[in-house]
Amino acid sequence: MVLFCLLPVLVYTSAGLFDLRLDSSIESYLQKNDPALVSYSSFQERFGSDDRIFLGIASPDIFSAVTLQKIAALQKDILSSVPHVGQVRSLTNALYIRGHGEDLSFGSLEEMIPEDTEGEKRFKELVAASSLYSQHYYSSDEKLALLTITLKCPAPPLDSLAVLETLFEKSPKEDDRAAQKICSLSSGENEAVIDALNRVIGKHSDDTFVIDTTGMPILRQFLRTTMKEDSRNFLLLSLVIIIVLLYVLFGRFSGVAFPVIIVICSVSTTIGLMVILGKPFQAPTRILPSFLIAVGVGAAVHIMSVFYQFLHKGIAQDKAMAMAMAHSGLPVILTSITTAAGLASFSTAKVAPIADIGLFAALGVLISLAYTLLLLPVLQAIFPLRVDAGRPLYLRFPGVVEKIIARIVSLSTGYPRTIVIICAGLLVPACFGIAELQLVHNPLLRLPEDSALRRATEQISSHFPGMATVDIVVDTQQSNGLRDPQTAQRFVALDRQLTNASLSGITVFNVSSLYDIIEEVHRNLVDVSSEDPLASASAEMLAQEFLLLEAGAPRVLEQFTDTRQTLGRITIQAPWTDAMAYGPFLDELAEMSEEVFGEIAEITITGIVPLLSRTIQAAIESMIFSYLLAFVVISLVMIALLGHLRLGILAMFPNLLPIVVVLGGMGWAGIPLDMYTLLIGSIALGLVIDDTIHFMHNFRRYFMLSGDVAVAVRKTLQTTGLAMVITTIVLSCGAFVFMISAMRNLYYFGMLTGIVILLALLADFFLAPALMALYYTNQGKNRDEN
Amino acid sequence: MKTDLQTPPCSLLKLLIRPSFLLAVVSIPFTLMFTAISSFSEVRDGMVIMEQVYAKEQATTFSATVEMILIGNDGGQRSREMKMYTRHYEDVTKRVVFILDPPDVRGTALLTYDYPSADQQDEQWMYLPALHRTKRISAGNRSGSFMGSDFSYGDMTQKSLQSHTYRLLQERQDGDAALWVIEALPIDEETAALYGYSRSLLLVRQDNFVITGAVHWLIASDVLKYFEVTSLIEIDGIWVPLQVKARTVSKGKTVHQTILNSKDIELNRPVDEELFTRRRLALGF
Repeated sequence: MVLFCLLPVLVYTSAGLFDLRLDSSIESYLQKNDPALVSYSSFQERFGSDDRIFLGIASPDIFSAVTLQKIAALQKDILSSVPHVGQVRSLTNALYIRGHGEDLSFGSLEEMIPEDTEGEKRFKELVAASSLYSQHYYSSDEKLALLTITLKCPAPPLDSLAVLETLFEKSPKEDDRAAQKICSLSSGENEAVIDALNRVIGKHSDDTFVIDTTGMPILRQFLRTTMKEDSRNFLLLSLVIIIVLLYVLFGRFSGVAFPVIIVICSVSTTIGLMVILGKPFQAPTRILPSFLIAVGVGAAVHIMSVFYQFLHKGIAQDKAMAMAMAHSGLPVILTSITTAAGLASFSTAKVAPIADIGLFAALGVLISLAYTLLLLPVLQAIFPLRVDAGRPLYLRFPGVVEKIIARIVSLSTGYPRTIVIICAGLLVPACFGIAELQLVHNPLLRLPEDSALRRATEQISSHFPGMATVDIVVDTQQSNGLRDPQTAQRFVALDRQLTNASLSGITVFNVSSLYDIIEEVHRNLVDVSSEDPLASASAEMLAQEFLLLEAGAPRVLEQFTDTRQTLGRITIQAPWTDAMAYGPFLDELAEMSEEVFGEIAEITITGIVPLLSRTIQAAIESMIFSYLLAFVVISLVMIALLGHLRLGILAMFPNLLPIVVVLGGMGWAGIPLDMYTLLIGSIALGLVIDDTIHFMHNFRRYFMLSGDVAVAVRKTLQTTGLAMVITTIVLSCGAFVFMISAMRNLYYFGMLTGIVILLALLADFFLAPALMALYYTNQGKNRDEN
Repeated sequence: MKTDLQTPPCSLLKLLIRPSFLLAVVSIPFTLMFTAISSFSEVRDGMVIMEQVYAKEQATTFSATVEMILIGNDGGQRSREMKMYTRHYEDVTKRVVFILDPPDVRGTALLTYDYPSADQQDEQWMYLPALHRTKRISAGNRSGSFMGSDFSYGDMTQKSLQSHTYRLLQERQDGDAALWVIEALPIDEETAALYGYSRSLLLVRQDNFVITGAVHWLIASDVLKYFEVTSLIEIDGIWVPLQVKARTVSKGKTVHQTILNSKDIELNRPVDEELFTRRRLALGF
């Protein structure tokens, strides 16, 4: 009956696994209604996608006819062979404005590509004479040419007949959803772009034409590949480790098969639910399957270890299962709830994948609990077990286990004060370490040092330290506001102030706006030698120059302003650095812009860099809340379980100490806090509290029977203590699995979470009994005095 | 096929010698021939209709006061008023536009020579009153926007009939008007690049051979351009649009619109040839 009910649920949810969507985009980290994402979306809607790939081309002479012709050929090939390319810009097709006598030409540098030495000289002079090219299309040291590919938003194919029908619609329907959505390619489309681009680059590059590529689409592809590899490796390794550990610990087939069946069902249902609810698989959520395997197996291990103990005592199989459920059922339910609560504390996070981890890991733990409680009795009923089939490891060496337990009991209950003082002493250096902790968020720094993408990015950045772009949107709030000479002056003033300025330690590499081109037009119309040619331009002059540009190069205007010429865009190029450093940089940029424009315009700062900055800021805000929420909820559960306020709070110490010590250790070791390591506290708290609950639950039971702390601790360790060791080994190995990832942050996350789990077991074996010994001794004294 | 499905399974040989199969095989060439004839007929019909469209009487000269309203994706509008003169010659269409409003660009004038031949690049000059200068603007092909509107220079001139192939897609009734829907494809990539469209659907009124609507696919893009003649008037036997709307649509959303309203229309009135020279730009009309 139970199987009959569970099977459809399992099949329905698991079917979703085939539609699992991978998403490695940066913008998907923020919730859809986040203000930073909303303004970025509106920016993209107005000015188009800013999803760019940068190609750094190193050649002995970037102005030689051969190199320029090669760049032009590469560019042509990219346009014809790479999908989703909106625009390709390089030295061979940049906008060219030239006044010659009565002529004013708007065109492309393509027309000027040289064919001989004389032509090379002319071309070089031409580009050197204008401010539109250096540091935009080639480095100032003339060693690297830059080719920029802007990807366009994907759109459904336009079917003739469907379009024909729209022609007859009297009030055409507007698809607002398409416009509100952030414009980015799906993982498959992104992969198709990178694959096609790599083929084109392979065809064109040689020893004298070396091409390096970087940019968000390449980073997304790298993260996606790593994500796929990591998820597969984590899953397989977790399963292998758990199978080996379960076999070593239980020594029988059922001891391995039952928990493994349960965790596989739990993971399939949980990930299937993610798909059904339309959630993508993102870089942080890749830890979910292997994490759920490690966490989900805990409940089964606790019940089965007690079940086998009863079975070896000669109790009938059905009865042994019922007794094991009665013995460990309540703590297993409580521990699952506390773990789920610890994880659910992330579900309100402002960072989307972190909120997903919180929601689905918590759901997964509860699903795993449900499968454990429902499937274990069914499985043991379907497969009758032989009593002599094999003995668990700990039952094979009863003398050794007893000796270890006795030693722990004598130490923890014999020297409680010393243990408490040592633990308190650990807190001091830990607190100093925590004060040293650094927060970082830099997708590039996550990459392995030897990765081609990291090397390429560093190579291009060494010539163009402006790979990161920020856009300032200036809203004059009046039609033709940009044609006002006062506004023009402010644009030029901000451009001058920002170029090469250092804001909060970050040096601005380049600034560009519509007025760079208007200045160029003006220079070609009016004979001005001043550094600020627009200073004397009248309103009529500006309006007519705008009109001239509109007639000569209308598409250029579209890139910088709107139809009414109310909005203007200033693009800032800055070095690629840590997102934490961008916070003060962006603040200073906003302050400077507002100061320059004053009352005449409204300023919005947007782009990928503000998104990254907002992501880390949202992560910090969410983590502070999550830590507090997890602590409060878990403390309440502990107090409810123990039925005592002081005892409940006291029982939290063995759980908090390992987290504080590990965080302090990170500070001393210089390991930064990032999107992953920030999770350690809440995740570890949810996990390690399980052992404390099992310990306290059994301790209370045996203490009420014996009235002796040492006896209660010994009995607790003899029964549930073994399961605590097993689950700790399973959980820590489940965390250590993440150390195989090539990503440094995931490596640290795995290592540190595993250490917290191991330390928590030590705290449960030594600090918890010591605290209980002190508490009940004091209570005894008080009772005696009374 | 239905007969085959209803019969019990049989060997391949039996199937091959079955009369229904033989009939089907024999009928294939006839079907193909019929399809070819029908395609040919569609091509011919499309071309015949377009020949009629091009053969309509054209005005040699045209002048009007035109209001151009530009509407952004946020609904924001700005407008320009201009006086426009056009004169068709055998080998060139000359057009001059004098801007009347807004005041900051009043007096600005644009002179354009459109050559129907793809080999000859169009020419244009702009007079800027604030600088008292006339500049010859070289700006590439005809796909560029006409003064920031949704109309390109190519849209403002009549294309050569031979530059496209035409296919009659269907006949439609739109209100009282019976229409032909014609698909136009550029004859080669060069023509497509010149006008900026990879494909077009044209609505031609059956009663007067006037194109009253169109949708164009922008080359190598997901963008569509819709044109609609919302008001039409017959002057001296020549049909002239009073209002034309153009919409640029990207991913199902209108990103920009232009409305052209014409008034004071005069056709075939003598227009001084001097008006279409650089010298006259500064003097106005």
